[in-house]
Amino acid sequence: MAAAKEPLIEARGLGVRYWLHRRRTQSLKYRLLQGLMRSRPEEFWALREVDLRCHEGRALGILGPNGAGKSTLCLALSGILEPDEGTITVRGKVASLLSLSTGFDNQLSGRENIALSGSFLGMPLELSRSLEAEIIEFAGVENFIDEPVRVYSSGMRSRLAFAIATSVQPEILILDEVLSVGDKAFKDRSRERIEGIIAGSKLVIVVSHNMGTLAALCDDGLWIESGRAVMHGPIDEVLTAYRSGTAS
Amino acid sequence: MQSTVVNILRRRELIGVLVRTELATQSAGTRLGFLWWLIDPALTMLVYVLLFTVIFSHGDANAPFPLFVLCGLLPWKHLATSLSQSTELLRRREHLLKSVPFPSIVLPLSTVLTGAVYLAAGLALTLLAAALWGRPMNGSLLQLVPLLLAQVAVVTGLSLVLTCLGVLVRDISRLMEHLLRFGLYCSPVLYGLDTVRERAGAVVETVFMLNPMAILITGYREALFYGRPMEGQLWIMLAIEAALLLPGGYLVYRHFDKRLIKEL
Repeated sequence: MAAAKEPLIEARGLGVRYWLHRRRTQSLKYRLLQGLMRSRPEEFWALREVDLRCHEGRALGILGPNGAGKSTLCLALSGILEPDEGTITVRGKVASLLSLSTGFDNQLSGRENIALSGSFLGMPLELSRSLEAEIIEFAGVENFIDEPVRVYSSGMRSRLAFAIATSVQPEILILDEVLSVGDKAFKDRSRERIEGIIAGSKLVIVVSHNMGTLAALCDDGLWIESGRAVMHGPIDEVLTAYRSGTAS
Repeated sequence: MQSTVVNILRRRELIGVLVRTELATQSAGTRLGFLWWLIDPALTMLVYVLLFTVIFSHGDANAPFPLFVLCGLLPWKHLATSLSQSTELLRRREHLLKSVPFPSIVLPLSTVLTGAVYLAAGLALTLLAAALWGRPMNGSLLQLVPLLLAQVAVVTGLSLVLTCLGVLVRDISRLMEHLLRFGLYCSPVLYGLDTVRERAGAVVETVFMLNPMAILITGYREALFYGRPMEGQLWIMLAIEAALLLPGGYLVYRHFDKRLIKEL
């Protein structure tokens, strides 16, 4: 029984540190002094002492002002950044849709890029091959699939990237803003698809500035500010507190 | 994602795809496609044939100088291309590294391996040219296999260090061109190690041997040009150097691993 209740994502005392190499002035004197005094880069904690427990069947919304550390938290939870302090435990297959960058190679055809991009995302080749037809159909690039990606319009490119990135149903989904790409028609389809994936995931983590989206999608909320968790609780309460907190 | 050995093994398919992609990209859109693998070293050799036999009248039919140079130039080119690409690698993929979790070490690894495929193709062509020139063809050609393995180990080790340096110290990519040119003249590409021994003595030769490329080039030459085994002492030194550089480079990479994405 205890095992079933283990959180899918658990962060304890999470801290991520960046180094700031400030060059306050370009003067030679300053540089020489800096060199002589061996001034060390300043440290900056984008996240510090963040505790988080996300259970199966829940959706967590992360909110906070710009520069609060929301994206850094997503990067850390996705496994892109390693924590400098504390621990993160993830129990399940994570997919993160942080941005649509898929490592396309412009010289290669769309078809070859599906395999390449899929490999970066961790799909075995057989899997990306078996999903290929569906990806091409969804992206609507049938006529161009054997042409090099450099001739694609930017819309076609992002549609293909989106179709690849969303072709597999993950257990845990991390979204930095709910993505929607392309023209009106594709926006609706991509939204629908994301909603489908959200529904199919055991756990969803969404970062958004749109309170409506958060209220509609999430069960819980985490409000962070200056890299620290201000409040973690049911989404309605967190949203109310956040609104009054930022309004005042 | 951490660049540990476990993660590298887990993502070995990605490395394979990256190598194939890189090979395909370089010939994609060209009329001759994969033939360029062979045309490249062939043209390089042609330039040296013209330069040395026609212009400088250096070398003769028994010891063709272009072949001698090619045995050194191809492995050197592998090192030089891998290292100069390494300094730019992560920055070129910055956006991807910040949106998809994968161990960044697969990028330098696949770059070195892609270069090794070209090197193997070039050596195959050199072998053909050596046969046409009537150089001795015998069992010493088997040395090419351990030489290639040692080369990959050496170049990987150095390339891992340079990938880190390229991110942490931006100036390094500017410096690379000059360092590599210096390295080229310090390696026996255009001359042989015997020349070093004759002119500068055994001590200098030993110092030269600290450069793994010097041993590697000597080895390729023994196999392809002279058709004789390389001295055992050189094999031992090469093994030690490769055994130090590969894990050394890996440890350096692991040390900076966490910082690399943040510093991009």
